[in-house]
Amino acid sequence: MRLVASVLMLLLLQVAPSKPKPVEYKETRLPNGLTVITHEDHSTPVINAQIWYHVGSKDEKPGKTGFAHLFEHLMFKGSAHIKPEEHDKIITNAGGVSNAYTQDDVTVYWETFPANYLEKILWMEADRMATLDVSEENFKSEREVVKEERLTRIENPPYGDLLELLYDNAYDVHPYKHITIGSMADLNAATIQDVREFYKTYYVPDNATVVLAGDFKADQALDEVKKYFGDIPRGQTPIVRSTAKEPPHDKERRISHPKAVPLPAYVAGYYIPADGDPDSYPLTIASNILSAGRSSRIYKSLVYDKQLAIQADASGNFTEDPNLLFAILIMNRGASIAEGEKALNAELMRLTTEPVSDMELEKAKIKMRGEYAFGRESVQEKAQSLGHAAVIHRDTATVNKEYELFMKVTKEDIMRVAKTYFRPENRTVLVVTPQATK
Amino acid sequence: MKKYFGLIGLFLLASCSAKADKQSAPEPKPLARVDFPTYEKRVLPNGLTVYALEYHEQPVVSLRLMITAGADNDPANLPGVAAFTADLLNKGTKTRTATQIAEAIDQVGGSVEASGDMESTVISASVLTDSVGLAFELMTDVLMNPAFAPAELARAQQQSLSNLTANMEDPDFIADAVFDRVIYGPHPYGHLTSGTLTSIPKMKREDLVQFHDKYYAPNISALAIVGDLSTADAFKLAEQWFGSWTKKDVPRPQNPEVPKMEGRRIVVIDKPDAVQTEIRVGHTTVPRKDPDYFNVLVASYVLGGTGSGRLSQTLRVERGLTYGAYASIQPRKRPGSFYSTTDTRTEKTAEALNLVLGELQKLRDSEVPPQELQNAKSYLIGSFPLSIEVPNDLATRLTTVFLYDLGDDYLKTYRDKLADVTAGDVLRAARDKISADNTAVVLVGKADDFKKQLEGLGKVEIIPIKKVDLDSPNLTR
Repeated sequence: MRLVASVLMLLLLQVAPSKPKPVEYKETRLPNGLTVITHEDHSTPVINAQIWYHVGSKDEKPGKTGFAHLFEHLMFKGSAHIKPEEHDKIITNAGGVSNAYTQDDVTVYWETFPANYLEKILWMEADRMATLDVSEENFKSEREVVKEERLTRIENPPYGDLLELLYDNAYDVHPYKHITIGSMADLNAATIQDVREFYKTYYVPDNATVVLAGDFKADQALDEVKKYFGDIPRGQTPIVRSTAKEPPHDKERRISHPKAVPLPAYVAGYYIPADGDPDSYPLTIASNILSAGRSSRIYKSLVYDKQLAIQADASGNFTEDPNLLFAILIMNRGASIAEGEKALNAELMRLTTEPVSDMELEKAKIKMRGEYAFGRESVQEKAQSLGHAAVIHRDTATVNKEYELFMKVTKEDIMRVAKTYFRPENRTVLVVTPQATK
Repeated sequence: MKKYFGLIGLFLLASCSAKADKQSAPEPKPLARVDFPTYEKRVLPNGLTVYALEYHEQPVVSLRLMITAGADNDPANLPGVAAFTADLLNKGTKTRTATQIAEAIDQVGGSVEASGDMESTVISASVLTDSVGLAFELMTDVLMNPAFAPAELARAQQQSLSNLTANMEDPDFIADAVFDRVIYGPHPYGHLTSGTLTSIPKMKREDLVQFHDKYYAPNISALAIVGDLSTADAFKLAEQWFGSWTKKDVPRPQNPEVPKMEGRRIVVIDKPDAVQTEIRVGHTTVPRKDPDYFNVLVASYVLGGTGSGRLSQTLRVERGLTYGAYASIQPRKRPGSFYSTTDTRTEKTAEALNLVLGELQKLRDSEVPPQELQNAKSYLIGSFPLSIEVPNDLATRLTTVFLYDLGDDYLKTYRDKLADVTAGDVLRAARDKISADNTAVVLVGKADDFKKQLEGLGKVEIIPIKKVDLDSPNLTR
């Protein structure tokens, strides 16, 4: 009897795996076009608020690279009722944290704070959406900060400039050609007049999404959002989005970059479709099979068995427009790029010639299930998922619906996308070889 | 005329007042006191302390086992043993190969990781609730039956050497490593937990086996189980899987005293291709349990605990010299460190350094004004709810209390202790435990372009980055 019982238990466990909890939410569009999304989570008395502006570095015009991010910094430089730097001060004095980030497609301002501060935070965010007021002096000094950020992130670390080089070579016409931080020359050329125009065009309620997750009552929170954001007028300047499409490339692009780095590095960027494209799901599962966890193919082959690399992974950068899937290698001491590239390509090719095993497919899906649970624990992670679904997918329901699309991926799907995208002529390769310091 | 104006004025006023509530900040109502979630603590017969805390927001469970022995127990001539011992745990046991362990945990979408830190070794596992049994099984297997297979050790050595070779040319990394070495001297707190280019190749299987035999003991360890699991089940599983772990007498490390900086020592690591200089300034300070700890902590927050601190205000906001300037304490059982960190374009190196030194001096010169003190304290106190949001955070807070032996009521009382800190306390502690004169300064950058600017600031040593030797007392080969 006992044996039977435990076998039954095992069966039960297998048929009823812990499924990730859906993120429940309410969504409203105010008359001025502002989208508002709320998710109640009462487990801890904290709230995360995010304001997503649908503008990023891909909206920058030639000669103005880095501007969306520079502008993000200026949003902390004062509005009608909040003095420069006061925004952060108010939040840290409450024990909260606040920051912002700019990407290719979006600029996101966020704060996590004790739940009693919600109304004040909304008032502050509405104030800078409606009445930003940056002085010439503050603009110039913050530009120096952004230039330092470029030095810190891109120019000073040994491998800091890899992606900038890769993108510059991988794209000809699409604005993803330049990375978000932009060039020093363009940062230097930016003017306060640019700031005012950018603000007028993009920082308007009909180009913004407010996401709140945490310990509040949704109806009350929505009333407060209406109170502070409700009468901010719609944008008057039409937003013209770039329609540039990167034409398919018919042969491999290869750049060699000699640099004073300690170990050779290799980055291959494969052109992939946009976030939410039907092919993005099998590609994500494929990249899990390739490099998620120590039992994944690339890790097992290049890092563990052959010991060619200290870092080896493949992951897709899925964005609003088609972007790249990176295969990155940092070589082990004594291992050559040629060996590494050969072993890496063998793994990519294997996906095109033989179907993955049932077990591997299952493992990659379970991994995804884990990512849904572990990646949605905090209120910030939940708000992040909602904002991404609403702004990038333009369909908030995808925050929960996508899970099923991952679960439906078949072996045939994986082989098909591998054949479609993992072709040599579909990639740009950057090879970094160590060179003595000048 | 006046009348009319009056009327119009009134009308305008009325229309303004409809919006008046938007012009003044809505003041938050007080938040009811937030307490650490209820948990249970038990000590098993073998001495293992077990914390169980139920948390059902997601169907996940976090296990965190902390052994309170780490790199501070490394043999003096062999830094890195604690880290290698930890690193090899999930690379094979008596019954499972490294690959089998990886397969087993990847198969359920979870993780089992181990790492050796300065004063502790941590094994952590995160799984979906339906795999909690497997998490206990794998965790105890890697804990109690590691194989320390020679091939795995060789692999880890090679990886680690490659990593370190890369890191030794990363200005940020090298600034931290040299700084610790300068302020702690020969004390293990000053060595790299990962081992050095000299020590890593010397590591033998026996060193790891010995470390494991000596220090991996339930009676100096704590296990936190946090997540979607009943307290009863948590204790049942803890007893079932950890009950057989044998108690032993653990020798405590015989380390030299943590030194104090005398005078100012400026070490420049010359990296001719750098475009920025990494700056570290600081010295050793109070132990984690010292009565002055909170006073020094508040001082560090005033100086640069957040983007609203003095360093950020002075260097970033007012002068645009840097992307970030912060100060913090690295807490340790013995005296930890108090340090400031920033980076700036090469030509501004001395200007930035002087500003940091000036802010340090200011902390000793006069009391922190009331509002500024209040701001630092309210951040430290107010951020409590944010620090207890997810299972991993909760588990970490519990094991940290255990590591520093802060007492069972610590999570209840520390905010009151912080609230009691006065400007006088901070000034006294700053004069006693913080200094701009008896301090280490580490600068990593293009020395030729700023060394002249350093004249008059103190004794300067310049070491080419390729010659840095973290095992040598004078840091160079």
